[in-house]
Amino acid sequence: MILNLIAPLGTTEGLGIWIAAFLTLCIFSFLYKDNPFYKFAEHLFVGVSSGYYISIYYWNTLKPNMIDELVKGFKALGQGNTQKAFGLDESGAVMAEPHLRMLIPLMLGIFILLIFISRKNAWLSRISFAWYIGVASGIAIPTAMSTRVLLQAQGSIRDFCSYNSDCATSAGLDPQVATTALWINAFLLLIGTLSALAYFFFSLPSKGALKVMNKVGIYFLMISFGASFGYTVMARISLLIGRLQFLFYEWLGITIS
Amino acid sequence: MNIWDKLSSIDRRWIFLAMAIFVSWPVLKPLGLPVTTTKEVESLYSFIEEIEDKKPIILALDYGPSTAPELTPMAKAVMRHAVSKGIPVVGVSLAPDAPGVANDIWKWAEEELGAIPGEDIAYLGYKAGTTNVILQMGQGISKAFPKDYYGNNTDDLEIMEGFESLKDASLVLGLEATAIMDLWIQYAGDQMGVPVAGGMTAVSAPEAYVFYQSGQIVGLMGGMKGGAEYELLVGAPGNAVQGMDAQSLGHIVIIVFIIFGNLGFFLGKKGQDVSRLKSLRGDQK
Repeated sequence: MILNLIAPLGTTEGLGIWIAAFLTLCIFSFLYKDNPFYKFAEHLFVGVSSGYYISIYYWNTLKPNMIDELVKGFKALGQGNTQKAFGLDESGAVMAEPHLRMLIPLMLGIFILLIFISRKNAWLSRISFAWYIGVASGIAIPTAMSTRVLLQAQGSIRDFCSYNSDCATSAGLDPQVATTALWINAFLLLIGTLSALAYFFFSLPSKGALKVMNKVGIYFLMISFGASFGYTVMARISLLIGRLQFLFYEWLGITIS
Repeated sequence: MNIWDKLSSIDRRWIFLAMAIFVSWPVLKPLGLPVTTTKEVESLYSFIEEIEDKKPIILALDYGPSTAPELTPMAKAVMRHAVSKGIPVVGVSLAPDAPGVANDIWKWAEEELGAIPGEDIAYLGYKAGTTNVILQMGQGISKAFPKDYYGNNTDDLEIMEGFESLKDASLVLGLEATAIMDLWIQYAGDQMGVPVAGGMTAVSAPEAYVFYQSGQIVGLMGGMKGGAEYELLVGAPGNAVQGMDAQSLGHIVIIVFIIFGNLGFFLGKKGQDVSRLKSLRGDQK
């Protein structure tokens, strides 16, 4: 381990490193107890984040998609070119640039804001929400059903097919040589899926076979919660490691030999 | 107050101190604990290894600085692998706080790997709209991203020759801190038929394993461990491998304190009170 000079404060990069190190230590100070340094860093973070997101959404979304298009549209309208103003070419076909067609989403956006501005006209927001929910559902539901339900259900018995060369070939899967461990794994997956599903089946009293399945389901759920907890711990420690690597390597200039 | 009661009421600051010591120690003096690779990461490595037609990889950097310690090592390791094999890498972001992190990675790739911007690598920047952006990329990359992050026309970039739409990509690798991974799988993978792989923060990784098991993704890196595995596979240990010693000691500290807490509860006054209460309830029944 070699300790070099601390990041030079005179350069832009060095100044950035010093500020980042100071703010990191301010946040860490909360671990002892709440204090003005932590409060300062916290408020700064909230302010900078808000400013950053507003700026990003303005320059990446609002300006190019709305403001610029409306400016172009009104300019074309001023020149008497109505077709171009509404994003249509000379033959009347729809162009990629919407220009004044953006007035429709602008209007829908204003309708949503009416909730906060005018109680009397707030009902207009329903038109926007109806359109938004309708489009979003139309796009999401069929694919979500396939990705999250059908292919997942298929996946829970996929291994049984993979271990049979005829079945694997006809289903377009890579045939696998089934070892005892793989068979056990495939059965565990199937039992786990069915029993966890059974645990959330409330239409019958939990008696007999269903009670047994519920019990097994609880154990599978507990194991999955344990795995999630382990991963969450790993995630949090990773962030701590990331900050420590920054403080030790970049700020203090320590190099590991 | 006996020793068990003391154990169950340790001041949380002692736990923080223990964690700070045991995580700092291996960061300063690596212990060299072994890191083994898993089949989820190996299959991603093999998939990239077997790409022969040099069709670009879409690297979706959908994360910001808060999860960079977990996901940046993955991005760097995969870029190192792709560039060394001559596979172009095109980066996109569907998370608004991603461009700063992505820009750092792209600069690193230029300096460290000698990748030529516009030829070997390109970063198209951030675009709002998640699902819509993915669907638009399916119709044409330059429709969704007319210019790259640095202001160049996307169609003018050499890397874009023959790369018209998302369907022309050899792989979409989503480095994700949010649920955007689901959208890549749904639209790019299941709908357009493009192979998809994931690099997830550890918090999100357990939910993604089901997609690997069902064959909907070709590989998966979970948390810092996933990044460390890929670094080892490409033979260039970096920050993730360095962090794994600290990770192991950190977990040991957590396990020890969980044991302390449980011993303190069950053998201390609180646990005895609970069991007395339970027996009283039993008597009443």
